[in-house]
Amino acid sequence: MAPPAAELSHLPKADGSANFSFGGYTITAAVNGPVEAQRRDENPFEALVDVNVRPAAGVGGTAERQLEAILQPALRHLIAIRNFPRCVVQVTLQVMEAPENAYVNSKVMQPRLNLGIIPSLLHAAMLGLLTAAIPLNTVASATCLAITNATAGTTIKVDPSPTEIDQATSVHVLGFTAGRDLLIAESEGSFTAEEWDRVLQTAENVCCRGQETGNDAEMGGYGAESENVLQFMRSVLEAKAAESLHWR
Amino acid sequence: MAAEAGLSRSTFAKLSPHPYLLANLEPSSDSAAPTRSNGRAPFEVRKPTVNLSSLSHAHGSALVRTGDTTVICGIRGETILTEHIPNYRASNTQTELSDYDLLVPNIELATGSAPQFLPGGPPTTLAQTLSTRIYSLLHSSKLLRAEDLRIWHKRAADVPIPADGEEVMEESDGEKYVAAYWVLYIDIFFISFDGNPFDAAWAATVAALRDTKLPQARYDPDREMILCSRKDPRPLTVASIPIACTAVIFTGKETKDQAPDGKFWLLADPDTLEESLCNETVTIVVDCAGGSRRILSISKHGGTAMTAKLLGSKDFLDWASKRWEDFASAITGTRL
Amino acid sequence: MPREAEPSLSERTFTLQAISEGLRLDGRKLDEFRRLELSFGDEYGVADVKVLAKVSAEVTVPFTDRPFDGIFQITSELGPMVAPSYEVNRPTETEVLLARLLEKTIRRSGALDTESLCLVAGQKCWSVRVDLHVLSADGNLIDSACFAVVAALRHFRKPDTSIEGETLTVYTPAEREPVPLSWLHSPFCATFDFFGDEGDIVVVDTTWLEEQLRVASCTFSLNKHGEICQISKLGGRPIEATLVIQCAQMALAKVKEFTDLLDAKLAEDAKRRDKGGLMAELSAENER
Repeated sequence: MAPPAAELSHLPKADGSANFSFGGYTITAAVNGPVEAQRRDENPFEALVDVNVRPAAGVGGTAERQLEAILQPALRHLIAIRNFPRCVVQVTLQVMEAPENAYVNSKVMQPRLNLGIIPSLLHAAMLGLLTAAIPLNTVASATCLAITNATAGTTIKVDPSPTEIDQATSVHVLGFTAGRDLLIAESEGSFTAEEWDRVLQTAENVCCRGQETGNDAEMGGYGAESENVLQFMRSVLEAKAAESLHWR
Repeated sequence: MAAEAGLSRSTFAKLSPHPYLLANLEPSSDSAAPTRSNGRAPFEVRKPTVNLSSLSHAHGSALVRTGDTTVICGIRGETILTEHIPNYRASNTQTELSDYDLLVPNIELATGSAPQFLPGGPPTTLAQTLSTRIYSLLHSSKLLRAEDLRIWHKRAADVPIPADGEEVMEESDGEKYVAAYWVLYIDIFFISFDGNPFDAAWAATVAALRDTKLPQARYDPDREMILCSRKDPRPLTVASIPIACTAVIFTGKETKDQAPDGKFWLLADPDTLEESLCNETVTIVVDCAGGSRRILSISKHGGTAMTAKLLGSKDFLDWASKRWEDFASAITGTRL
Repeated sequence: MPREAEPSLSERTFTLQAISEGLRLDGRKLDEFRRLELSFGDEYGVADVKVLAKVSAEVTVPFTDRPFDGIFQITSELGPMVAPSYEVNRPTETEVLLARLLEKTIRRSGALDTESLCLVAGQKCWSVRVDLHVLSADGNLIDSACFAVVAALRHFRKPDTSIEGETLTVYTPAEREPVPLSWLHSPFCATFDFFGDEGDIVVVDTTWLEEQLRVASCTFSLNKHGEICQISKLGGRPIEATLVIQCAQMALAKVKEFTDLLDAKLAEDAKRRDKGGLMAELSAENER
């Protein structure tokens, strides 16, 4: 699978913006904030976080509301909202492209929750928030896993394709903060407690791998050759910062 | 202290709900056990009661009550001819339920069920997310079989029937095909709302589906329509009883930051007050039918107090199994 | 929500003075367009000019009063991505005007043959839907939006179908190569803004700042054959009729340029997808 790609601050009018693509998904995030909140829903102690997910085709439906309901508390936990009372941080996530399953004619309105898109949405939002210079408590990354039941026993696939998601017995999305705390967990399908344990471990490895020095060796298996998303985010932001300070 | 200031219990609760709940959970004297403001122990749930077939005009219905949260779910089957399904394809036998939208859940948070729901206006965000969660779980849990919703028809054989041909001959010829489908409209209506809507709504859905009996239906090729008969309706095959168990995490701090000691309480089956005071929620859907425990969905968001270790811990899963027993025995009406 | 800041008095005088002297803030000539960049997505029917147009199609039931026509709709939305002053689900005037112009230019001019979208009369038809997402706006939204929509529609491929007797089969992309829409002509928009007391200074492709200061504007929609689909001049200062005719001439030249650019880009994209000339072979194989 192609490594993740990102483009930062590509929208001139938004305070922060980022384009993140990975695994067939391309998401554009625009972040505005902190701006003054509307009187009727302002909070005197903390900033509101307003997440808006817009599908590529069709108007946002119930599935997009559910995605927002998953992402909003996560971002709220990451943003230092106590610093900006009576303000709002607007995060707009526009789905630009989503991978298509060549074996299925997909429908425009998808009332079912699409778990595979959550990691890309979260990463795009993170990059958007970082370019908008919104103070964050910590950063987070997420990954999608699918368990498939083959004759040779169950296997865990990291970053599954839509076809693999369709065939999987269970699909899991897990997000960890940089401090290795579990931030998001969404699973569906049918699985046992043992499988759940394995999923948790695998996901933690994928998201948090390589943060401590000198543990490269133990990371065999799960796509160890690619850098993890947090490292990727760090490197693109460093590149961007270096470019912005080029005049000095 | 409250008494000195002349504040009654309810005034204290109203003025500063957060310290009020904390004071209840962390009693100043050691003799008092930590309780929640609603009098329950942290892990104690409200006992569910289920009443089946309470609606006479629906094909199946169930009323579920846990504490002050009361939900009624009515299921109505409507037929749709395959030729009226725009994207119908005869070779599809795997994803009929989702491709043809054969399950249509709809949630209504009725005005008057709780003060925050106002009349008029579009469905609230809560209603929308609930309906997506019910819809996703209906499909991902594979609760229903597509076979129950198919209406078969035998096409008359092309060969002319001989003069002495009996009906048996005619029936054995001809190819069998799906002429129509049942579409299940699952309407979930909140009569009274006091926290934890998903558990109650999902239990009502499962109970109502188990209660659903669809009439015998056959296709009439002459009139090109489906005819139903009142005689011996057929129940749906609902093999499993998945049950949702929700808990919220109360960190004891009004800010979202965790207390330095990382202390927190897991409040099972929260009411409205507790839901409004907690950011982090966790929902696990389990099915323990037949003695083996399967997890059908886990959903956790809003914070990091609930660690991965705790989420996979035996205590937590056993609590879910216990709750499954309560609900399943209430739905089936038998002690499991 | 915060309101968009209006240009200050000194900005206003400076910009207007410059325009009357034939100068623009970004150094362009008055009749010079900004460079138009167009990229297609990996999927068919995605075009991006800092507006994103996404085409999608599905089989539905046609409207009962038009049983022989398919459904074709264009929706556009300006969200908080453009500027915080745009709210979700509350269309502004700009948005309504944009939607109406696109409707007139593309849908009502018959650019897409809606009869070709009909599959089974009165029962099944394609519903083609264009979703236009504005990512950022710095003036002259209409021209670029129209360009993106036309580009996306011409780039789009819908699943192949076949009808045997009464049964309709919609093939998945893996089974049969998707087919393009039946496209009749490509109309484009060209907008002219007028400045000066008499409204006699014509400026094209204005920036947001210039757009706020204009005294009138006029949008022409026409195709490369010079057939005008619509002209709209929505109020503003009265303009000399001869000036409008001059503008129409300029619009035609511009539209020819647009057409060439789009054709070149589409050819380039087709080449990129057609690795080793396999595409022709694939579709021929499926023709059985």
